[in-house]
Amino acid sequence: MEAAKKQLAILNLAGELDPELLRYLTARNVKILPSDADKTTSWTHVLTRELQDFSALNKTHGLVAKGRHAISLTRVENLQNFTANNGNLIIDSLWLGTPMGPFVLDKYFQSFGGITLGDNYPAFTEVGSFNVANPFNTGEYVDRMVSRAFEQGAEALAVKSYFDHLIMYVAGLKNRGKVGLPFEVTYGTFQDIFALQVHFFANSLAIADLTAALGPGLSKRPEEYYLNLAVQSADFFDFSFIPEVSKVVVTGLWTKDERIRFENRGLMITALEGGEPLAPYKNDTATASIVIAATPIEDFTEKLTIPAGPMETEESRLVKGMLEEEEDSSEQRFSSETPEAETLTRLSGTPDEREAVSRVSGMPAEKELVTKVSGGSAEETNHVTRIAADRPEARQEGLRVQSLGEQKSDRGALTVKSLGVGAQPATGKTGLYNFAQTLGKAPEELTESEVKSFLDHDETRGAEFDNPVVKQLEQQLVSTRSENENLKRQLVTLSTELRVVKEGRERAVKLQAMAAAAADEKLAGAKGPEEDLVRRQLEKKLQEQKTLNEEDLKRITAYFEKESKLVDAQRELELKVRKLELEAGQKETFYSKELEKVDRLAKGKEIVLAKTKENLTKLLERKEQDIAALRYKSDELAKALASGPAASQAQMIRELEKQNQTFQKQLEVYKKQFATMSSNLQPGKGEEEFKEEVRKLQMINQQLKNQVDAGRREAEKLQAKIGLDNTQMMQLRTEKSKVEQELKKAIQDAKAALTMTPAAGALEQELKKSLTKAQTQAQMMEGQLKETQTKIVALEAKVVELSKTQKSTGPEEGAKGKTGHLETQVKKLTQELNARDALLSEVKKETNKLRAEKTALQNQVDKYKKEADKIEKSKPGAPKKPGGKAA
Amino acid sequence: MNHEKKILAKLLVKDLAKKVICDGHLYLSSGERRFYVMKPGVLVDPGFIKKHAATNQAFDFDCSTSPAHREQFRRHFRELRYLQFEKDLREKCVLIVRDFHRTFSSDNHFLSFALACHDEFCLLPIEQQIRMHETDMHLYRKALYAAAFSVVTAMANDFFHYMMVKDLYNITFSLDAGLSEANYSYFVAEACNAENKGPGEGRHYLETERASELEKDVFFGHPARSYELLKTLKILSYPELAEAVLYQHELSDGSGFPRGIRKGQVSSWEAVIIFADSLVEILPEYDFETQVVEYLLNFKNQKQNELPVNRVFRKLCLTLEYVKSFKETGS
Repeated sequence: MEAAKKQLAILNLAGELDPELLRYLTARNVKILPSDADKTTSWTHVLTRELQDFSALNKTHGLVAKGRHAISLTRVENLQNFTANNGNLIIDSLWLGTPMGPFVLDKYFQSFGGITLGDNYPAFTEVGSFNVANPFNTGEYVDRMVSRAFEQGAEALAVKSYFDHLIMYVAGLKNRGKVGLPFEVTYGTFQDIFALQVHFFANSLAIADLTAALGPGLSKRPEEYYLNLAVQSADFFDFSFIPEVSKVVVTGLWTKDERIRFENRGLMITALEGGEPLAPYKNDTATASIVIAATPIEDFTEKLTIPAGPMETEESRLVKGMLEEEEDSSEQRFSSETPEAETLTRLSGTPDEREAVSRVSGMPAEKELVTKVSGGSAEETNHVTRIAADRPEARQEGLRVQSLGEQKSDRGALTVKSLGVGAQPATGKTGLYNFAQTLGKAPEELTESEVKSFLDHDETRGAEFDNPVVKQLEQQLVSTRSENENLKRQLVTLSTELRVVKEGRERAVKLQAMAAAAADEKLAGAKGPEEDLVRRQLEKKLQEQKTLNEEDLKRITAYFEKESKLVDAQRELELKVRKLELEAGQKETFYSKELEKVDRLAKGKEIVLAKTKENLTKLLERKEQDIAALRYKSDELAKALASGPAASQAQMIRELEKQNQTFQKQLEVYKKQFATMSSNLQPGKGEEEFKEEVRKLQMINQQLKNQVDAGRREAEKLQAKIGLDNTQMMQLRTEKSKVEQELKKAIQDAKAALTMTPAAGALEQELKKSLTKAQTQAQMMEGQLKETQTKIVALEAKVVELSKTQKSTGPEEGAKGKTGHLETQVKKLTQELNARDALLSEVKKETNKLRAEKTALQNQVDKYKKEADKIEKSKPGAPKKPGGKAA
Repeated sequence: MNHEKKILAKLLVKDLAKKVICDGHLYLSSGERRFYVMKPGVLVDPGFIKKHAATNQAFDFDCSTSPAHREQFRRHFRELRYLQFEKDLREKCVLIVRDFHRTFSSDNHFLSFALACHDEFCLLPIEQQIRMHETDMHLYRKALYAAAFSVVTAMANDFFHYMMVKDLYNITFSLDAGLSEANYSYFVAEACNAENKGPGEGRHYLETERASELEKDVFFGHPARSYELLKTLKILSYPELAEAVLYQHELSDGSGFPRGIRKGQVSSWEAVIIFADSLVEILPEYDFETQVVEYLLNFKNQKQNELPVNRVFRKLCLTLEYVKSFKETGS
């Protein structure tokens, strides 16, 4: 986002830009710098075209060092080299023509994106998603995804291959602790484009982890090219890292556009930021379909086809009878297009292009090479038809030989200039044509030496071009050219060997034919007149005599023997021929394999060379840096020595001395400690102290035991007292019931006293007596209760003291178990005491109840008393007070 | 509470919601007709239970949890553990979601499922759980329920692997463990609730209530504390998943905390946790004792504005609805 806000500047080494790209860059206000721009001008990206080796570009412009990125507008063969040199975008003009082109560029330059497909590619509609917790257990989900790709019309086989290799690559990273599970997979569509996105957590992923798996060749170590296979399986590959949350989002795109499918691929490696893009991409239907369907998966086997490639035609050569016909036809086809096949046609171009082109010749002896070049993909066949010098349409246009440089002249200035034909693109005539014109010959009439001289001249012209990038590239190419020369020689030797084998096979065929002819002749010779004579004679004899004599029989057997010998000889000859044929076939296959191996080796060597060169340069740079640093240090040291110890050094020395002193002090302290410890460790003293401690502990233990015993006894006493209390309670209850009964009686008596007054006084007295009794009893109970309460309080205090003393003694080593036991006992006691407390409280409650009842009874008694007094007063014949006079 | 066991057994969960009776799953008798009713999620010392159970004083209170349901889900989880193939795993998870739907759309307490999940998946040390519980019982209960919701949400969102589900459970459980690691107060819990209801609300709540610096530190630092705790405990099979803890209070506009990440950086596994966390609040009372499925289907939260959270929620609803339709048609 930040990068997008400030003006971007791109160095253009790709020559003339595609109109779509130019339109995009101008619309986004991106500054395009020409290839000869001032070195002081800063830029962040460099545009290239048809460039395959990016190490030189990196060296010249310091891509890695300055954090600049390379963008290729054409396909790059060696992705390892591209990414290692800070290349992070490959986009073809064909992609730019689609709606995805500007979007991809926006995403690249603005660095926006997200985890879900809706955030990363907002135009897409999600059609499915799943999670991978076990990379080897993806099952039905992948099947459904591939089925969906088939339905969409995308290259489903490529999707499957892409997913398998990508998942294996990520699983490999997981093993190295670079990424984490699960992987979330989302796939969707937009117009005719199918997208598959995988994202996962990645905390320590480096660009080296990518380049390591982008190996170009196939080998028995698939981990070296997992990612390369995934990239090659996709039409566009987007690898984005979101540093904010340490997550990686990998997206593959597949389109129905045949041109992109066969010719171009795209690659993008970016570090993204979350958030909204500058240019809005809105799609409400995104992520609309989350379907849980149990529908069966359709069988799309009929949609899978394997193209008939060059291998098939090569194999068909091994079929007997077909071989010669096919070879002849291929020769005829080629020779019909090149009537001047005898002459060598060399084409101009850069040295690497020349290598590829110079092999194409119409010589019948080099037919093997010709078939190899022409048997490739559609792309390669196009090249061959373009190279053909005598095509009728070329003749019409006056183009006898059309160079590759001219073919690509419309793509970019860099290539055109390096090829040295950019000066006259409008005329449609090449340098070779002009050269031939100066000699007064047609281009096809030139001899080999003339062509060579032209090429040398062409090289010098190429050297005149003063672009440093191109110079370095050419230097690189020269170095690789020499290696290629060696390989070429190997190839030539191998091809000659192959030719020898073929000739041997042809000879064997001829020999076979000769042997067959000789055998026929011999047989014919043997069977000829002699056989006829003998047969005629024998026939006559048989007609005349009807039997044969011994001589005739011997003659017949002799002839039979001769014939059998001949047949055996013929068989032997045939066997020999077959053996020769087999050997020839084996040798042919062996040599073809060897050729392939050499090819691979050559490629591998090229990579190794490039890597070693890089490493060496890096090493040299490092060494230079080290040397510089060392020099700087030595200079400084020399200066320091010259000027004597500085103030800072003196301070340092002082500090060190101080430290030394403190350490010495510490040492002394430790020594003292050690001495005291060793004295403590003396046997007699230690034992005595230990014994004393044990004695003390035993004492404390005994004391605690005694205290506990005393506590127990008191608790027993308490229990006994509580028992007594209970019995007293029972007595009180019974007395209470008695009092109640008495009260009832008293009431009855009071009622009766209404009629019988003298008895009332006695009843009152009785009541009074019982009341006083109850009161004294209650007072007794109260006193007892108070006593028990005080005792309980004293006991509790004792228990608390005991526990305190237990705690204060501390958990000494020897008495630990015993004190623990005591603690448990004390706990038990406290529990019991608590239980007693509970019981006491119940007792208290009951006494309270009793008190309440007592007061109630007293009230009742008072009531009755008052009633009795009233009755007495209201009585008419109540006894008068003593001392009253009688009437 | 003076209820006889018979009476308690007859009570419906609805009555719990009506506050006729305190919600509980365990009661202890001490003497005649006396009960201690314990709230769900309350940690009780196993020794204590054992002691009372031995003397026939402790009883399970079946009106809130069902031992049968608990055992049913535990069996499912155990079976899931030993399955190998992706198809079998998926089918088992669908079966679990179906049983979840069948069990908890009616009057059954979700606690059965939560306890089954706890029995099967919880790997947090008991000391840590006790610390959470002692910090705040509601905090612990929230963790218990949110983690259980994470299990069913994960299963509905194609996370079938036992170890993965287990990790998601433990991460969800320890989302707020960072709160118990610092000076916790219920005020901070309120802020967390507000944040779960609507992103940014927690911050607003703290500002309006004039929270102290310490409280702010506890609130804003708890995701990082939980993350550190998970890292040190080392209980996850996929340790990188621990990062998900840091996402619990992140917002799409970059104003969340602790990292303030921007739009489109939340993965589905993180969304499962965020969603499960937003389903439960740290409250003394809660609303999903009954008909959990209905609660889930009608759940609305501002966090659903986030695309991955919305996806997770929709997929859960779709799975539940699918199960429902499956059940209705009988196919």
